[in-house]
Amino acid sequence: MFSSLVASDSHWESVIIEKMLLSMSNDKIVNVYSESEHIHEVLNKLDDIHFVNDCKEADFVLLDEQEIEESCIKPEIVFSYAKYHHNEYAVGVFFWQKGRPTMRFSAKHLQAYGLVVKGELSKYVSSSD
Amino acid sequence: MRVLFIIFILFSNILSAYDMDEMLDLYRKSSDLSEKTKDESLGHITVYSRDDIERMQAHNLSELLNSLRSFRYDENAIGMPDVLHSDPSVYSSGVVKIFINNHEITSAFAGSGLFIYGNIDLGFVDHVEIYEGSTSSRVSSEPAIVTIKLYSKDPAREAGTNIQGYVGSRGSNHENISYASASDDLKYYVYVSNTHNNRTKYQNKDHTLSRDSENIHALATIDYKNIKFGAEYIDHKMDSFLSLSIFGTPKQSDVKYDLQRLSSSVTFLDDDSLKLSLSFVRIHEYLNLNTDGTMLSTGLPNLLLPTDSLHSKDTDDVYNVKLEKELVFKKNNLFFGAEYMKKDLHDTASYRNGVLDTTPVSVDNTIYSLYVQDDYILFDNQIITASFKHNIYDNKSDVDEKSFTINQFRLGYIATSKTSMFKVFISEIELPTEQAVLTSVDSASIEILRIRDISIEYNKHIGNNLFGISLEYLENENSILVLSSNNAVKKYNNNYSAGVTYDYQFDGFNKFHSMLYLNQYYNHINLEPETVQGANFRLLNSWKKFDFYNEANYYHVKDTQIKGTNYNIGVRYKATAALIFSLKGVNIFDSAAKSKYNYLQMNGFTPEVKSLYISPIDRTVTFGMEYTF
Repeated sequence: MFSSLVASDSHWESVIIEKMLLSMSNDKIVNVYSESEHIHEVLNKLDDIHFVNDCKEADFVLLDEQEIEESCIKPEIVFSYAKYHHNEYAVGVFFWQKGRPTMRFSAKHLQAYGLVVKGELSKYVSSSD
Repeated sequence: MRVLFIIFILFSNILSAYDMDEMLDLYRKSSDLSEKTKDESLGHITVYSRDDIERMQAHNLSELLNSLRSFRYDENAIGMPDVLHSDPSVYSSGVVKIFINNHEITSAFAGSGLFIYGNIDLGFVDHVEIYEGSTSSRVSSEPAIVTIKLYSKDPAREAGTNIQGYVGSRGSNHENISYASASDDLKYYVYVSNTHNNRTKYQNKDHTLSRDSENIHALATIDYKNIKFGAEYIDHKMDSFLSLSIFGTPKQSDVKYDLQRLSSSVTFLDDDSLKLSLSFVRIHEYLNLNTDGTMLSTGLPNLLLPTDSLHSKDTDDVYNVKLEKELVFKKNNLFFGAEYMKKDLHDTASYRNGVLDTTPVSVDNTIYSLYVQDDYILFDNQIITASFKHNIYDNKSDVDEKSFTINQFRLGYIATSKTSMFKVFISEIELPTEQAVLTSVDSASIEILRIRDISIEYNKHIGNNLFGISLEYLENENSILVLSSNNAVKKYNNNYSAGVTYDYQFDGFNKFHSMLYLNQYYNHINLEPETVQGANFRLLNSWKKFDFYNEANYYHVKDTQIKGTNYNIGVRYKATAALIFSLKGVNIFDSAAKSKYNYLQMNGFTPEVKSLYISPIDRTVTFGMEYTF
């Protein structure tokens, strides 16, 4: 039990991204698409996150440094603030700023997809983005 | 029993129910950049993570050097950081090497940049790694007993502006501002600080002993694709404490130096396995030392001068070029390296008691090095590391031996499991006696100091507990006194060190660290063995928006007056994610172990040795604020 209190960075990264996805979803299992090897490594052991091979089947796209096909139009979670700022499909971002990891959701983009952030993560929704 | 079981379940559930802010904080702690930079094969490592530095409110590096087995923070008779300080040597810590972003800060005169960096402000630092015992020759150009590595903040994680400031006892103050930006290819970080450090003053025979200092520090890092640039400027002025006075009677004196550094590293090939590092460090040094009575630099034959002085300036340049290739071949992780270093102390103008010194100190050394290291993977969790380094010195100073070579050998074994780690290193290093000192004595000749070292470390996790033990045996062969060639005493000396550690991790936010250690080493000044007993205890706690810090460091040189405990406490309040207030007390009971400074007192015509006992750590309270936007 106590060993989980000092978990690795990938453990906390997976928990945080999982909560971001579940907070926007009404389903118990969230289908995600990503071309990032790192994202696959971080999330592949989670029971409620299912990776799909076709973007069309995904509920969300997790976009790291790779580019994806233009035809893939799904709500995205990105991992750099610069990408978040210029990406019209980005509903959320998980990034480092001022020495600390943080997250943000775009109220405008969430509304465009008919999504709502539930629970404690609602305080990270920004209406100015 | 049932009640205990329920309490146990309840407690564990409470501990596991973190909110998102706490999870983000835990992620930050667990993804500390030290996990990417530290190298277990380089030695026995102590890491101060970003989180540690912030929660300890460590304002400068000296505060992180008080809880190590090898030494505690100390200062020499001029007030400079000199952790191996021993009178009457001018500087003793040449074998403690210091790096910033893998570039060595060193000096032609002192052999180490520790005299500048030993109490550098930490506002720009992300984390610090300290390697003790048998450090790998792959890292530093010349042999080292302890290696300190500082890493500046990563622009990719620091985007934005940060302002920090604190005010403290005796009117001390420090302010810094930094800015970072990161895009896909280009990242940069800029930092500027200003410090006024007003230290505790002491009196000796109506003479004031002061270590006050002022410091301006600027640093910039630029990363463009696979190229990294670094630039640094330090302007430092300090009162010079005892000013090398033989009788402990300094007059108004100061030391000033300014440091300029340019560094660069670039990787080549698709796998970045070929790395070129370039570094240039220039230090202008100005000494304005004045005393009643004779100075140490003048020497004992002129013992009865009414006043004395040493006014000098010089330029200390160090150039460094290093090329390293990493090659993976079957189970071998090989490193091949070639290094060029030029140490040039020049343009020296020195006046001793108003008279121009016609043979001032100079250093002109070129060092060529070749090294190889193999980390062989014996099994999945066991490696054997072996390294060899050959240094060729081309010496243009005024010494008998113009060219000589030294070698370093090292063999190590590391075994890790999920809950334990075992390390053993055996090494032999050779050190040439410092050139600047040799050029100040007649008939100087190079002496090679051979050091053999064996060190062992074992750590075991059991639940939340971490138990550790470290042992080191070091023999100094051919150790000599280098101040005067007529007083050379060759010795073969044994030194022992043992430490036990116990850490307890309450949860992700609360931890306890402790260490007890015992060192016995040969003091080459008083020609006797000395025993040092020490203990460190540190508690870091968090509760809601508050971080608490408690630390006690006990240090005792057996059968001497050097005995005491340094108590530090601190609290931080995170008012918002962007605004933090802090309050810290250092050496709050003014009970830290003191350092001994010898001086002479004339009894008629007979000089008697007397000692001053003064702590290198002042009792200080600071109040600080940090704001990011």
